[in-house]
Amino acid sequence: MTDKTTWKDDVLIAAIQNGGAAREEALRQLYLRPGLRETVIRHVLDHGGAFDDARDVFQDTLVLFDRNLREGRFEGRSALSTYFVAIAKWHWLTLRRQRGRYGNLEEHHYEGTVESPEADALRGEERTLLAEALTQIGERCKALLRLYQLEYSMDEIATTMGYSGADVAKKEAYRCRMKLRETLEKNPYWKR
Amino acid sequence: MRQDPRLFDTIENYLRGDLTIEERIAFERVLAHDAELAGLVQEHRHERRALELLVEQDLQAKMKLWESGYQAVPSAIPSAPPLQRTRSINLWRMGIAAALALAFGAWWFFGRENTATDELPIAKVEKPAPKPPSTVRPAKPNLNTRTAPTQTQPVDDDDNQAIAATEPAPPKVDAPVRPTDPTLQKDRDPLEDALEPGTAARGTLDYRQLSQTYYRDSDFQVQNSSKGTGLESSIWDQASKNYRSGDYSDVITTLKPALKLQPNDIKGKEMMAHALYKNRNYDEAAKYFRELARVSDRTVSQRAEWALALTLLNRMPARQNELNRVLTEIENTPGHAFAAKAKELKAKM
Repeated sequence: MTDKTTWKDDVLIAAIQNGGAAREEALRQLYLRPGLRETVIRHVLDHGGAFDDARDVFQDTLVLFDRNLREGRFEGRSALSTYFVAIAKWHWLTLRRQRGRYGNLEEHHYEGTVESPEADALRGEERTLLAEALTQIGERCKALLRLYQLEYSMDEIATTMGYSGADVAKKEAYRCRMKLRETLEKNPYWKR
Repeated sequence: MRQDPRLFDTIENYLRGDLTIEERIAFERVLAHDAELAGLVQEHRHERRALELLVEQDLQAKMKLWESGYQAVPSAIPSAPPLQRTRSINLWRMGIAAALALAFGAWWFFGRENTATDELPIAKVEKPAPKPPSTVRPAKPNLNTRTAPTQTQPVDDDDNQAIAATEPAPPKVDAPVRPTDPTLQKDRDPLEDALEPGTAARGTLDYRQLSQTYYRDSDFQVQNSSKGTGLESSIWDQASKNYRSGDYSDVITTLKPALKLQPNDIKGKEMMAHALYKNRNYDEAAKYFRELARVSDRTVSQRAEWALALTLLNRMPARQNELNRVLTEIENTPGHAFAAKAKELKAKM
């Protein structure tokens, strides 16, 4: 049996970028990687945060890290853990700015030394409204669109969702996207 | 217009950054004058954010499941809330101040003869405190907690609150610093090197400053004449020119393919190693210096050993064991050109 706890950085990157069950396993390994969570928590505590802030930052960071890797923003110029911590620092800096208590903080205060860890987490009203719209498209569309967003092939989507083939999966994906879009359009917030 | 799948794909590719530069410029030109298209792009953008939120919700739900597999690294996180931490930091600061006052007094009354070793303009160096043995336990993976990609986990709209409410208690900790057994450091993660208390970032020992003080271009004579190199003279000249002008990235770019063809060219490797060093690619530089330290030419090998020591100094404390070994070797090799410097450097550490 393969020891899944020993994936190296290049394997983790490939797994996250390729999607599927391997992505999930890669993210799980990072989530449980000894020392990673502690480093993030310690940084937040050392920079004005409370324990709850630190736990949130760690979990938000995994989300942002996953997205950055899938969107090809990680260029491999640092170790994955270093990159992860840089995102966490950046994210905590952003949160502190948003809270308005540290308006004079600049980018260099996050002490990052790796490539652009810029990460933008969905917050506040926009997040709430998007979540509301998602509840209105139905669980099946949500499941399909999640696979679509994670770049599963249409064949894989068809198999997973029980469609007769890739063409049907493609049509369904398009239909669900239109449904989501119509839901979003109903809210004047998005017209701003 | 909305039902046009081709336009749909074009907008998608535009937002994903998958259009060529020409396609993107052309698309943006149209976009600037077409309000309806701009509206569609905006809708598309919102939709993409919603899709990302789907992925995020799924991941947040999975994190709750994975939490059961988490084992805290003992002694890794300060357990006290911020107010208590502030108090302990103040006590800690008072302790340091008292120790410094005592040390100053002792120096003033008992010994000022050792100041000769401080002739180099370096930052005040304090020896790091001995580190406790490591008790790091690897996390036990819980492979049974994996969920199928299609599984839908209901998540509250306010995910942060949901996590805070359902997450188990924070990892129990005993002391405010992580265990840092030097014997384990060579295998440790780079992030731990970067954040380890007691490194330059914490202000106790400025290894980088120390390396800059001891690194002398005249010791290495990197970009002298092309005599003795097997590299093409045009490549050598170009690399030397870049080196002299401080364009170390260009030196690396120039020499890399040339060294693939001539992997045993010592002069080329030396220049490459020093360019990497100056470009702060210390791990890569160390590889070259290690190879050069093994060549039969004593002059080359000795200066490579010294350069390796200075390179490792930039990777402290993670490379402490290797640095100690290299410095000791230099110091104990009869007639080594850098023995005195190695001894002096060791004394400063």
